[in-house]
Amino acid sequence: MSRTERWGADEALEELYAAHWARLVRLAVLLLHDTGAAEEVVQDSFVAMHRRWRWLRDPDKALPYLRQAVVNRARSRLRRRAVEERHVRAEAARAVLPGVDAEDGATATARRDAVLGALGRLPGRQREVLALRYYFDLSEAEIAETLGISRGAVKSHASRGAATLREHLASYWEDPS
Amino acid sequence: MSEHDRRLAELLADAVEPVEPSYRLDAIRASARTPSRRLWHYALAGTAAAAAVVVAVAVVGSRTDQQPLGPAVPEPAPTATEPPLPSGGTTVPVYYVGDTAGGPRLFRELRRLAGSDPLELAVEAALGRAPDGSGLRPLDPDYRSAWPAGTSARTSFDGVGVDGGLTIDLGGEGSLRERPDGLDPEEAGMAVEQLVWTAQAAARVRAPVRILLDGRPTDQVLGVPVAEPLATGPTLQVLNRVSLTSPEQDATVTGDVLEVRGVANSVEATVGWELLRDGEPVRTGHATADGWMEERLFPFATSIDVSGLPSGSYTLVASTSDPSGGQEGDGPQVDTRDVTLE
Repeated sequence: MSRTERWGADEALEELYAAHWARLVRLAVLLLHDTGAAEEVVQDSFVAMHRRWRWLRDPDKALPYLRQAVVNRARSRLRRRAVEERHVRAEAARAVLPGVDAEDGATATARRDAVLGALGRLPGRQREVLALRYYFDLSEAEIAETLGISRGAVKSHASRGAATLREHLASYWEDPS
Repeated sequence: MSEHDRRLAELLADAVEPVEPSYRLDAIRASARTPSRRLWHYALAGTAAAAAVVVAVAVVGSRTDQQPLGPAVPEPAPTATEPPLPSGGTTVPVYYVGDTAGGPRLFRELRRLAGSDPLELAVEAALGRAPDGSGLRPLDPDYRSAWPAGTSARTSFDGVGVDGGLTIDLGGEGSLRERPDGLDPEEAGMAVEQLVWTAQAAARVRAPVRILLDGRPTDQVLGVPVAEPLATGPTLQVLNRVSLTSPEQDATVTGDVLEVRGVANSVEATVGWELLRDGEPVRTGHATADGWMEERLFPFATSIDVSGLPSGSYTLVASTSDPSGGQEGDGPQVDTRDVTLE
């Protein structure tokens, strides 16, 4: 810690980017099902983190801040998209996930689409809890802190969300590939 | 982890495995080091505009300039129609910052807090502090306090009716006078607006707000000029144009009717609403606010028939109307609440 405590905002940005950029973008893709939007949300979160570095000061606070910023921004984005889509009647441009190579084949693509689609149909809170728990490996307490809800609520969102996913993704459940 | 959990973790990791995030460090550095584009735009437009919009804090002159409570009040203070006080607590209005397509704006939340002095409770809540000194977040996860953690305040009103002033004496862990290098000036302006709007609403008086630092007058706080007592900034540039009062975030609704109340300023007084289930609207409609052609927010209320809807999680979205269909301006402004129907 003695070294990191002396980080300036720019150094912190560089280190945290190197360590967490890709994983945070993937987290945001789970929430948004849109790679371009996910990158924007995470980019804005890094900019906000840089602006707040003076108050955060240490990486142990910066990572929880980044996670929270990404989840909150993704949520605002989804809501705005939901409203705009119907107000403007224009489908938001959704970037297609990068193509898969031939060996990976149609099965893997279909499975990935099914997983992201099923996540996208969950209530927002359940989707957030599942992404943080199963993709980010956060504890219940960390998820509660990130989302500003009780541990009991985390537990109930997790179990309901997981049950729904299992039902919707039943055909992929046994396939260990 | 159970087998079930492991498989779910595998499926999620696999789903985003092909995502190759592009390189954005330089872009992040560039935005982090320069003020936001909006700010740059205002800076180009001239310092007068920057002062009016970015800082959005107007200075009240001598006491004789004070406006009495009346039609000019931008937003009605809570009235008898607000939720009743529960025993052992006080309900206070608190203004928080939230993001909109047009930049940060203030949203109002009603909080029930343990304690009896509404002014003190509300201002502390706006700073992100609970009555016991611990951290206190807005109920709505879309909102935030723009103040550095650890800031506290003593707030008082010295007077009767409009003849008097509000004083907020701030203290914090570091110096609060300068704007921290990393703090967006627009966010700093909103931080000060949070206090002015919250204090006036909690005290139910449009009195000028004097801000002190550690008991002493100061020329600025977070880099925002506060040498003179402050009035609220221009309503429609500071407040989100729609703010839901009830239901509150994560409320549980029983019965066949969801009662909705809030304040808005929307073209032709039309406030659209949608009740979403899994992101899809299951009920839609609109409410008519008490007005719209003034520089303030007007109350609206509506009752949504939720009979026949399955129990579960829903999201209520209230939005201002946008006659240009997104072609002009920043599009509709929205406020949202997650609710559970039982």
